[in-house]
Amino acid sequence: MATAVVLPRLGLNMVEGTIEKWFKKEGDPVEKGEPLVCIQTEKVSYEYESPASGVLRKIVREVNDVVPVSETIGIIGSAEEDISALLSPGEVTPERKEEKVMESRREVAPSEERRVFASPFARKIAKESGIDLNRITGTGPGGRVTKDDVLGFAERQKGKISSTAGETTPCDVMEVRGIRRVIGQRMTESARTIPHISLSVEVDMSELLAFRARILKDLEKEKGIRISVTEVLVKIVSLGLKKYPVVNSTFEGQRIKIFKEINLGVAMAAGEGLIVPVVHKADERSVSEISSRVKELNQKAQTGTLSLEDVTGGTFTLTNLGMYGIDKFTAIINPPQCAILAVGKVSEKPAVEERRVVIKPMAWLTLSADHRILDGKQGAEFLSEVKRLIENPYLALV
Amino acid sequence: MFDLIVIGGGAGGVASALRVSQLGGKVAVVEGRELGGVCINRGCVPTKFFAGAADLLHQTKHAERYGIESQEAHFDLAKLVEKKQTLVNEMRRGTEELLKTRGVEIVRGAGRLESQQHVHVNGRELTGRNFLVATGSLPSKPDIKGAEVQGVISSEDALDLQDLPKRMLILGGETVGLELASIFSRFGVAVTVVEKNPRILVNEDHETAQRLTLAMRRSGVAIEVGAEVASIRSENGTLFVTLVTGKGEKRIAVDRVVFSQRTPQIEGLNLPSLGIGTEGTWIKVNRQLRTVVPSVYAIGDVAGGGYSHVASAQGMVVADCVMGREGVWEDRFVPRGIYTRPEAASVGMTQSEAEQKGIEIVVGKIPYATNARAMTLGDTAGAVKIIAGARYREVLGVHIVGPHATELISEAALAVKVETVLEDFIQSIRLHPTLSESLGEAARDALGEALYVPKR
Repeated sequence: MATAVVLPRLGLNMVEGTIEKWFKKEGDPVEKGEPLVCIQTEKVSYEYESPASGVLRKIVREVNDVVPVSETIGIIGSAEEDISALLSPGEVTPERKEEKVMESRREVAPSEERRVFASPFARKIAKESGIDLNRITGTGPGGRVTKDDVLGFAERQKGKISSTAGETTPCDVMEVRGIRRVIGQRMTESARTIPHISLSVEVDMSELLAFRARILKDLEKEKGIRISVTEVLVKIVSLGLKKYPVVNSTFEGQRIKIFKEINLGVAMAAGEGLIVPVVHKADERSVSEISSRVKELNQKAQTGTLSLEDVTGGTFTLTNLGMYGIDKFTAIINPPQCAILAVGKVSEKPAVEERRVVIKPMAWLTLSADHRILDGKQGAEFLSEVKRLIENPYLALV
Repeated sequence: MFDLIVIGGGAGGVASALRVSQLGGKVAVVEGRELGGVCINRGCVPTKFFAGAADLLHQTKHAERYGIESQEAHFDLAKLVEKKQTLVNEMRRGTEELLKTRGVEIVRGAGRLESQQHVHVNGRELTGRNFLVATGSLPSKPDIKGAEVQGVISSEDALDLQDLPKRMLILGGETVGLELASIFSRFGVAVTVVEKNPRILVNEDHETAQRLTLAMRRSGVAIEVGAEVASIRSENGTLFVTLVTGKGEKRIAVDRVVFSQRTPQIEGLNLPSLGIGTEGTWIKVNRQLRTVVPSVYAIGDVAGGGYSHVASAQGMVVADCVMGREGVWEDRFVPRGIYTRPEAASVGMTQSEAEQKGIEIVVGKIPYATNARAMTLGDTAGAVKIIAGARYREVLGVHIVGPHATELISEAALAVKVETVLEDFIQSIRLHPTLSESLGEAARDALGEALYVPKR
């Protein structure tokens, strides 16, 4: 019997994915477990293995199609089998077991069929215009699709760009999709729903730089690792989080959950966007272990080979734009985390020490935190602890 | 530092303060008169208490219909006013208690905005992130020759009369004037309503105005439309009112003249020095109900609201904006109602409004004479009218005249808000016998499928 291949749910929050590549053509034989299709999600590219053996009879969704989770993307069957039943919409019964949540780090919610809430008026217009309500983001109470949502969608479908600038000024058009789209959605959600509080402190980097210089050569010789400032900061920040666990948390409406593990996300540029792979249990790892892990993650990010494991479970994010010459910046929290620490460049500056002006390597740290969880006081305590450890990095060893 | 300082403790200000406090904000209410505003003290509540008396009086007069024989009821206006005041005081205390349990600070005195962050009250300076001007409105005496003579009173004064006048002339055929007309007429007063427009309730559907005019005239209220008062002359306690109508001058002798016109209360707030202007007499606001000064909002009568429920719903929007949520004011969902006999209520577009906008519509109408519940109540004056889009049948407006219209309209208000179509109205099952059945029947009529009316 023919099998409908449906878009798998690869993460708890995944609602759709983009078909990046089909490894088989229509008519190709395929074995169960063999790579069948490459799917790009908000986090990674994922090689999805064939759920059945037979012939890839039909490719339903083409490369670059954005497909909702559990929608049929292809059909596998025997060479002569009649697959028309699977092709007619409304009669497809996708194998629900394929839909199980593959992410294991967090509590797994039972998968459920997506019920579309839409006003009766909206339903009528959509039906008459042949618009799939599943494709529309509702703006009404509880995400309900309203008349204006359907009309707006229909308008956009016509290829009209609603901004007046777009209509009159010549411009190059970039499709917003893939990771660009995901970053956009997540940052909008964060900026809109999380009340951000931001706290800045300037730290003296002399000791940390001296510490790094001291161990750099030996580590390079012994383990072949060239340790970076960011990597030392990962360790220091994770120790700060250990001392002030409330910063390592998430806001869930009625509850604040404090994570037991300290999994530090390290923001890095990759391809056309930004990715935040995770150093799990950073507090339990040594600086050299952290260093090799960060380097491995960076390598994978550049080659697009990060696994789901590599990018999930982060509980706090560290972002450093020092290498781009940025003095100081405020980052947007990476939900569902409570906070993000933005590190600026280290610059030689006049500083006052014992009433004398001396030149010191200084850097700005800016913490953006969810004000629903943290008040200025708690944020300041955490930031002071990080500053203390940076200015006396040997404390990180004890 | 307060998240919100509300100037004016009426329906809108109180609602906004409660909501801001519920969302975790720090809020104060500044009030120079009684808490509860016009609504509790001199508006909605007292008039509905009066309307209750008028209804009961009417019922006792018509008790025979049910085989009940009783002696003629004796009505004492002074006693009603006294009992009204007891209720008002109780509700005012309730409001104060409510604010206190929610941690809202009540500051007594008139508020004056000193800057975008400061308000002065009785020499005390309060600092806030945001301000809400919710000072409501005041009765405004019309500019008529003789308006200053004794016996010319405001609609608020009418609620404290100790003796029932024999004859009363009411200026203004809108909500306030018509309610008083209907109430005092049932109290036994000979009432004349004078409206300068060609019809009463100019912003309502023309059929609502027609039906109400007819019903009120039948019950003995004289309604003069397209008429203006030229002068009032007092002679031995009698007021001689000269009307200019389309058919020439007309003289009417009455004991009281009641004016219903109101004007926004903005004096003393110091708005002009902050650059906050008015649109006509109202404070100009945007869809978030903000004035040109982003930290200053205005709601309710002072911003052209006109109804207590508009003010309180606007108060919620302001609370959301102040507390960092999304809030946008949508006036198309506001139901309107008038507690006359019969009552009238509506939501959404009138027929002429839809036609002027060039929307193709279908219209359904069902008179209450076909409604079983209306018949058992002996109260069949009125009708239900539904206006829907011709293509998708979305419900655009509902207009009800008849018993309990002000309650029935809530179903329609929800229907308009959730974008229902006529089929929803038809398929939604109602109890029998109820007045609300006529809503379903009117929806069927709009599709040409009304069942319980004779075949045309």
